[in-house]
Amino acid sequence: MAEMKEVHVYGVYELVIEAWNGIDALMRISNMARRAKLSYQEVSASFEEDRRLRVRITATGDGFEARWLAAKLSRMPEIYRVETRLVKPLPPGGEG
Amino acid sequence: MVDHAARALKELGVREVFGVTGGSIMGFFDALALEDIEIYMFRHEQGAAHAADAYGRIKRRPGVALATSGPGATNLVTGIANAYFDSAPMLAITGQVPTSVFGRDAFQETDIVGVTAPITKFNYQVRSPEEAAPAIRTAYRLAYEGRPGPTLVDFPRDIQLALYEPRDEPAYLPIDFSKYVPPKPDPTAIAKAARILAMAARPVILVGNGVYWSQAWPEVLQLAELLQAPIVTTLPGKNAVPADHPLVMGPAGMHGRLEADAALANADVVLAVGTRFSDRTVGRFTPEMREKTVIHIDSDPSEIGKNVPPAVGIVADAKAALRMLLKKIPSLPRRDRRFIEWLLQIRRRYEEAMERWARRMRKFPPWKVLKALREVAPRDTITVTGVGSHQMWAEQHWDVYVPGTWLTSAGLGTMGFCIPAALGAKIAARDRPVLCIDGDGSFQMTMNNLALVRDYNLPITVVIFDNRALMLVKQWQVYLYDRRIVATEYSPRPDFAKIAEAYEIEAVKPANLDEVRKWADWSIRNQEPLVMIIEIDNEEDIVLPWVKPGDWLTEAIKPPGLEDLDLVYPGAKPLQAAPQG
Repeated sequence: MAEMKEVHVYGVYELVIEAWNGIDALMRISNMARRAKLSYQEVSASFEEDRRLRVRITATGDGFEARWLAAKLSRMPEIYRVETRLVKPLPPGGEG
Repeated sequence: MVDHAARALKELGVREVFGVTGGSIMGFFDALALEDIEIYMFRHEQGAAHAADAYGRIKRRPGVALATSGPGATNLVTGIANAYFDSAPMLAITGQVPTSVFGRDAFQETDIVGVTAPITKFNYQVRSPEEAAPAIRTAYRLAYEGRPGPTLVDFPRDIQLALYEPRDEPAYLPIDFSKYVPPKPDPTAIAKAARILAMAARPVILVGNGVYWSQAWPEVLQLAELLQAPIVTTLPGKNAVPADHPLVMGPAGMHGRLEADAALANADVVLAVGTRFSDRTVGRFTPEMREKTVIHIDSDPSEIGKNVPPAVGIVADAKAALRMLLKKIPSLPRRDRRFIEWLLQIRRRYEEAMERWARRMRKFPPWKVLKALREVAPRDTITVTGVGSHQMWAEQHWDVYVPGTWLTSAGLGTMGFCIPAALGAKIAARDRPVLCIDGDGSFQMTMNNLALVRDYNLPITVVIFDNRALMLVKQWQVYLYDRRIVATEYSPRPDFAKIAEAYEIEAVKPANLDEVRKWADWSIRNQEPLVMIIEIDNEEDIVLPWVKPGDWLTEAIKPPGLEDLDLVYPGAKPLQAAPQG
């Protein structure tokens, strides 16, 4: 992540987040996601064994909010995995 | 298990903590006393939090603040948020009701972990005794690793009191600390940044407080000298470079200095180091900032591109990145100094205009008081401010000579910061003078903590800029609300001299600048606490220059006599199209 690449592709982005310390981490993730102002499509969270948490978020946008959120979350101590990907490009401003 | 938690703190080097006790934290206080850790009894938890914040900034390791559950914990919140927005290392420890009554709205129950989730780097509620010491070690370390910030550990009372013998507990909670080691600067990005800087016509270095945490000021100055680039700072970034270096133009932004605003506004290339591009610094983000070529170095990847998209973003420790950059920049031909000379000319006119303005004032000109104090304060004096017009005057006119000696509430803008932060700074550095530059509004929010001055022999010098108004808001009312003055003017109560006297502190009201110098000198030299009350006229106390919200830096409202001063560099103006035909 040395040089940030600006990608401006409008579409559906998916974030997969895995964290330790489930319920507290979920609170922190939802707080930060609110600050990122994502346009959500789906949010799901499941508690796994050993207090672990798995969150999947899909949201529409040009990728900036999703990447900002991923950068923030990746620095959080409880979180050990954050992945962001463009699932489906959409025509700007509309559903495909 | 509180004994293990207290011992963990002691093993981490904690010798002083700040707080207010209560039913859900008294067991922890008891354990701290048994470990001979000194407890500074603040009169309000907000004060304890600000003191821990300031202590952390001076010591470069976390200050520790403790509070009981419920109101004790929520009273810490403003101080925690302040540390978060100014990236200061701090550990908050809170008591909590017993786990048996969780969720039953028990007496003094508050979900402090939920409340502080967005304003801490990490927070954690200990749910079993074996987690206590690892949680303390983890939260302490996380507060200073990477970009510093506050952390919080919440201890339910039954867990505190549980009997527990440690066996093979881990040192830390299962945290991946490697993510807090800043990545090495990318050589390709550094090479690109070096090329851009070498080709720049008017490069400017924008210094944020990340430069202080990285201790990168020698590299910043070296690079500025190599490029002959002016240095401008953010409000907290004043803490990171000496004001008397010839290339330091001072802070830019809403209440920045004119030469700094002009430098940043007319730069073609901005090298921003350890800053988040606050709207208070750049005025507005579009279109002007987007027209510049920006190189952004920060240890926090989420800051790169957040407010201003850079041509090159470098996620790295500032010192490491600047060292690599210095090696990559070729020896440059003699640089054109016309831009710097133009900025210095603005500075001269600005200072002359302020002198003329001072002569017309009925009461004390705030900036002249600051200059008088600066004459007598040793170079390494730690200066703390409150929040308000006095803070903005200090931003413009207080010269910081030694990095790490400027403490202000910049990001959150917390009135009441000055007194408790000055006490925290004095505890961290008892051998150095601490000067608290406060306003009357800010002072009244936390003045109860003056009790600690005599309780613990903390001789701070307090200077109150007393205009009996929330003057910065009143200034907005004058300019932006058609002079409708609503809820910003105070009565003459209370008498601050009597307040000081109640806490057994000498109080003075100087009649002129000579008396300001004399009393400040007396307080600093004799290590005697002092409250100095400076009467300011609240009709005249308008902080200029001022870039109104949403305006660009060159549109600053200037001090009287400078209305004709153009902040657009003549060499940067677009050429007129040649007439046709």
